[in-house]
Amino acid sequence: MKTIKGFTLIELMIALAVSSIVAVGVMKAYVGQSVVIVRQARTTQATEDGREAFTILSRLLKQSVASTISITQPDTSNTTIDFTIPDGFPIWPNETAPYANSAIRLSWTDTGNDAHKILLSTATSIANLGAATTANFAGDSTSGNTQISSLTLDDNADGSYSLTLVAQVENGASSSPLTASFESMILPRN
Amino acid sequence: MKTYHRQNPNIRQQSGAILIFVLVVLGILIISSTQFFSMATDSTKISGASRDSSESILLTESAMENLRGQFINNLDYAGDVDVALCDFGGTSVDKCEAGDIRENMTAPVTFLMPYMYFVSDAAALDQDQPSLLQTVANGEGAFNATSTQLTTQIVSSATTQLRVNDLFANSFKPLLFTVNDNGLLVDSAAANWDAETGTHKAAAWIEVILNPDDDEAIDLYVQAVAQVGSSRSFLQRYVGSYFNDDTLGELVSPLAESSNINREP
Repeated sequence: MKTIKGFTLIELMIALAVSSIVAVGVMKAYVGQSVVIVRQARTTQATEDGREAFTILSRLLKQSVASTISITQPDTSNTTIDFTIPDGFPIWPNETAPYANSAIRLSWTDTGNDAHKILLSTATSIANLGAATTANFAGDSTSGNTQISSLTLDDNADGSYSLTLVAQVENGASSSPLTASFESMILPRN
Repeated sequence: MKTYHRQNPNIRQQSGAILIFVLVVLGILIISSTQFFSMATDSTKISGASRDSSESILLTESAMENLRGQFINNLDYAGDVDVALCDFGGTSVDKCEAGDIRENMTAPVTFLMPYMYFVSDAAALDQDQPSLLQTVANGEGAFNATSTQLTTQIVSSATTQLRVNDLFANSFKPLLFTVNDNGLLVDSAAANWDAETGTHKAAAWIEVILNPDDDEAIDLYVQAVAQVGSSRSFLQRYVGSYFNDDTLGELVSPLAESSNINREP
């Protein structure tokens, strides 16, 4: 009679059951960690991109001529900000001699083809801004990229302005987007 | 009748592994999986703390910029150096001048802006003390820090620890904010830092010190603290240095993004 050493069926079943429980737990932990990592990465992305856009915007608005600032915010889904910077000074984006494009428009919307972007246009006067070509200043409509989900400029009673910007990166269809909010008071210098 | 049992040669006898072997393997599995789950839990906690820290830094920046945005360094040829908005939340542009601030740096101090402080040993104005923000960070970071409620806008240089709440008095207090659903700052209606029970809150104020190189000049700093959950952030930013006599040309260091006007000789 041959004797073959090995595991009994019961032992194998116990091992299989224990392994399955451990495997399910490990898988859940792995998936949970993956979600956390993705969320952190997207939050960081929204924060970095939003901070960069906000810093440039706030500095540009601070250089504006206060009496020329015009804000159009018909609802929470559209914002247009027109203003001028002093004539003849080479301030970005008015950086081509003779530095005559001192009228600047910033526009944002959360609907349509240009949703969640900030568009920038320059012209020699505010009246000419409507015909000016626009450039994408910040944000992207594409899922996975940083989107500008809100841009507001409020005119305060004391002569200052409150600028707010919210950047977001979508976190999949079933999750709310990850956002980073920025705000500053702006007191135009000119 | 005799029966004969004959061993079927096709039946093979099996012997199982000993129980102790199974128990050892099971033990190893339990220990390793426990360690794994413990690490996963720690990682999740760290992620949450990191998220709160990032949010608190953003809040601190926003609170500070809401205050720093009031500074203008607006020079004009009439000889005035406008430093900042004085009437914060008022109905018109009411500008503080550098001299106004400097002249108020003697006891009893009542600054034009009720969220302005400076550190002094009372006998003389100092410029070598740790910043007020450092003192506050020490107090907030210390376990069971001694609470020393301020009674004036002068902070004694002997004070080594202050809690944020200590900066709040009836007649002067930092700007206090909480957040709305969009994560944006809104003014808090609470009377002080401790009374604001929201999970997100921020405070911002200004510290005035003597310029280390010239006792006729003052340096202004904006300072802010924010708390998200149990995570706190402290930030300070230099605004500028101003001479006592607020005449043109005596502005030492305007903001880096200084005005575009008045560039003509």
